[in-house]
Amino acid sequence: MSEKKTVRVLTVDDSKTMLGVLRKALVDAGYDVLQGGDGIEGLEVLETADPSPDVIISDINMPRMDGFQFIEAVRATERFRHLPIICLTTETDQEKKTKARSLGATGWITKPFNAEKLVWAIRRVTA
Amino acid sequence: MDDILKIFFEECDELLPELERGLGELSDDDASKETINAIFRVAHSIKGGAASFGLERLVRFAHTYESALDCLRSETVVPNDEIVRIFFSAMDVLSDLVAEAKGTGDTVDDERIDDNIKKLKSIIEMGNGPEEPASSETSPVPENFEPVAFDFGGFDFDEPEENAEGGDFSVQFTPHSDLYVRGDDARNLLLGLKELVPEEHQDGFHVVCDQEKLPASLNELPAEEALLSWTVTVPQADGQVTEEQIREVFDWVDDVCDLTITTTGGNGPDGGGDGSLPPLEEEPASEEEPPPAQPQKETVAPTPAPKVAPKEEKKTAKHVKKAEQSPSIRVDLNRISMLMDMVGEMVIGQASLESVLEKSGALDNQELLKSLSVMRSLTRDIQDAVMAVRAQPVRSVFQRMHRVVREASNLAKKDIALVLEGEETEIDRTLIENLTDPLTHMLRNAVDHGVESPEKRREAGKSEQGTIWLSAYHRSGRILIDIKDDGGGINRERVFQIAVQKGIVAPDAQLTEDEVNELIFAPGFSTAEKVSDLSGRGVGMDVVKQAIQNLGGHVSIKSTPGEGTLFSLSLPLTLAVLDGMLIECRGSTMVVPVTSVVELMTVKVPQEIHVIPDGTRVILVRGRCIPLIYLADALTLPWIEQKEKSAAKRTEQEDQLIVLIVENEAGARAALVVDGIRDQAQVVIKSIEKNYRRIEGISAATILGDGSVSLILDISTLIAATTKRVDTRAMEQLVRNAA
Repeated sequence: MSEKKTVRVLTVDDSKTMLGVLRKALVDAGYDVLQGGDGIEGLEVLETADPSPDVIISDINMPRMDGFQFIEAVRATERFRHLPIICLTTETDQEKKTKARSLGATGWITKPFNAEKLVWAIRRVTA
Repeated sequence: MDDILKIFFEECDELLPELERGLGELSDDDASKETINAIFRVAHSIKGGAASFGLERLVRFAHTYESALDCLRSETVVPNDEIVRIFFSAMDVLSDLVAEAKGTGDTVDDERIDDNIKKLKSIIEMGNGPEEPASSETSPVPENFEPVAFDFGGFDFDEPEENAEGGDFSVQFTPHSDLYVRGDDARNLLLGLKELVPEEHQDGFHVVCDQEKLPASLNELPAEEALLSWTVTVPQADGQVTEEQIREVFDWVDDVCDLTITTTGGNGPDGGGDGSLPPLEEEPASEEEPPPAQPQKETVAPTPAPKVAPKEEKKTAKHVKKAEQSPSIRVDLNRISMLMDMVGEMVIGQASLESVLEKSGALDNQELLKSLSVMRSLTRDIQDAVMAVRAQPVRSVFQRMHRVVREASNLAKKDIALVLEGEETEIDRTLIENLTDPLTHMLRNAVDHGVESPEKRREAGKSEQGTIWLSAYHRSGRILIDIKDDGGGINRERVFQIAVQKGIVAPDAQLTEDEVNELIFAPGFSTAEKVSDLSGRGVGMDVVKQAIQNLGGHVSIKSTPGEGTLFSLSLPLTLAVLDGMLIECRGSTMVVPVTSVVELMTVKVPQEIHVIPDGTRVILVRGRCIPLIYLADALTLPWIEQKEKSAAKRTEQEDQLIVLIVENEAGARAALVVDGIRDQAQVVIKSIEKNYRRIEGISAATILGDGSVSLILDISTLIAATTKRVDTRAMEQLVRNAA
């Protein structure tokens, strides 16, 4: 990956507040931000976005299609099989994380989080 | 940041009614797993959002709320009436805390918060047993839950932790191939380790790559296998680096790598690079799972893991379907208003096109006539469509009424169920905003005066629980809202008595049932035997009536003794257009809102006109004395040259005046003398204040089909100006004499 290319982050969350917070933090850190209001929207954006996002940050608990189903759906698409997915959630119990991981999530950030934690997580999977 | 905060509050405004709806379903016992999930998400989202802005009070409360809801979600607690009540009550606190944070509400009483938290915790204890959050009375939230306000400034890294031990950590790291499959990267993990080490201790950081598993020849290299492992020496840097921090780096991957951390006394083995990855990967040594790593340090006390509902898939499918039916977008209201405006112009343009074509005689052309009529129906469709965009279901207002009734019936010590009907009925947004207050007042009134006390109900052979129905529906281009109760009905005798006492009616007045009912709306009337906390808030039903009339609507009452009372509100679908009566006055066409017109009549001159001592001309209509308002004089319109035709008409009018009996919100009437009545039409309201300035007696302007500007009369002001100076005693005297 060339140094200059702007990293595109797809953020998926049913909370508009959270989407707003994420956008602000990510844009400030120099990322390009795409948004989806739930798993279904996330998939739509993922499939249509050009260029494709370099990393996904997704909430777990969402209506219509939750984070688990979303991860599964992303992983089911060949070209996104290795796309880093970071779960963003206040769910802290190990079971949730284990489930997310078993479905193919790369990692997670626990809410509440700060910009530093967020950026570190993205850098870790995209650097 | 402020705009995100705004989004947060907007979101809360959407979430809270959703919570209320969900709790309503809980109390009806038909709550599905999805409902519980949905309301859990509400608490969750509010907490998450509030935490981002450091709204600590809100976070703490929402957290407890969420934890309690989690017990329902995990089915460790089965909701019963008491539990639902606790959630409702706490929801009110939650919504007040949101208002507090927003700055639109008062500071929420700490005692009330604590009380509700205590109750929520009783639910949590029910579900989790005593081991759940170190239940210190002072802190409702597990100590380790910290709302962290989002800091958009620079990144300050974790503060060094106390662990003043010398030596190094030796980290053995063997990734499985799954680590790469999942999109992670060993190199970044090593970099992550390196970042833990403060600058001045970087010298002690070493990475050694174990390449033993690499095949001798590149051709034999399995492309999808992990073949490398690393040994990393991480200096403790005088306690600035802890084992926990190291584990945290590997937190995401503890199931797809082998990780051993040991402490060594001194410097680790030399060698390795700076973490840069050799181009080859290695097969993992073993498949066995390493022990789970420590969770992050801000971990909240474990909440019971909700089981994955077997029905989940089905429900998701249902949701998907619902969403497909109505995807939605957010649009700035101004844009819609602008669109509405333009459609108004288009309607006018259409009308003026037609009138020009008609004048030129072009309408004989059948083809033209046909396309014109297509245009006309399209224009009308577009107008309807744009109005529909502004329309919103009344649900948002209706939902709020649950709380109103709940609080009111608690205060009045009555048991009352509120039944909502027709929540989907759509109405213009502006109207929705203005409906809350009148509805709140009317519902309080229904709780306070409509529904009887449980004792009285029992005596009357009714169920102790009273019911209030709030329903909305469309009828003939208007929206009707009914507030119906199954109470004792209006006690007309008492109402009449009170009205006499307060000097609203004469003791000997003969009134019909409806007229007695109407007395409730008279200014200064209040049937409350004691000033209660509820309705007695200094506002009477007259204010409600006025508010409704300001919205272009009216209120009517039907009441049957022993069976209940029905208040019916009739409202226009929008405030952007108005049904107007086009009248002529000194050559100008003006608009009188149809809602304020009581009747049209002609008055014989001079026989039917009386002059009372102060010089006011009045007429008597069915025993009522009504002052005349000569519109031309009231507006000080100049005389204009009348054309011959109208001059002839005027002579004809000499002995006959055309009057509109108009009424203001308070029920005061006046007879508006006009030159003629032209038409009745829907007109698009244009603000005159915004485009010119405020004019006494004129409420707005409109543009007529012929393109001319026409003024919409402000009947209330006109009546007020007249009745203020008129001698009412003389008028009453006149009525008595006539009788």
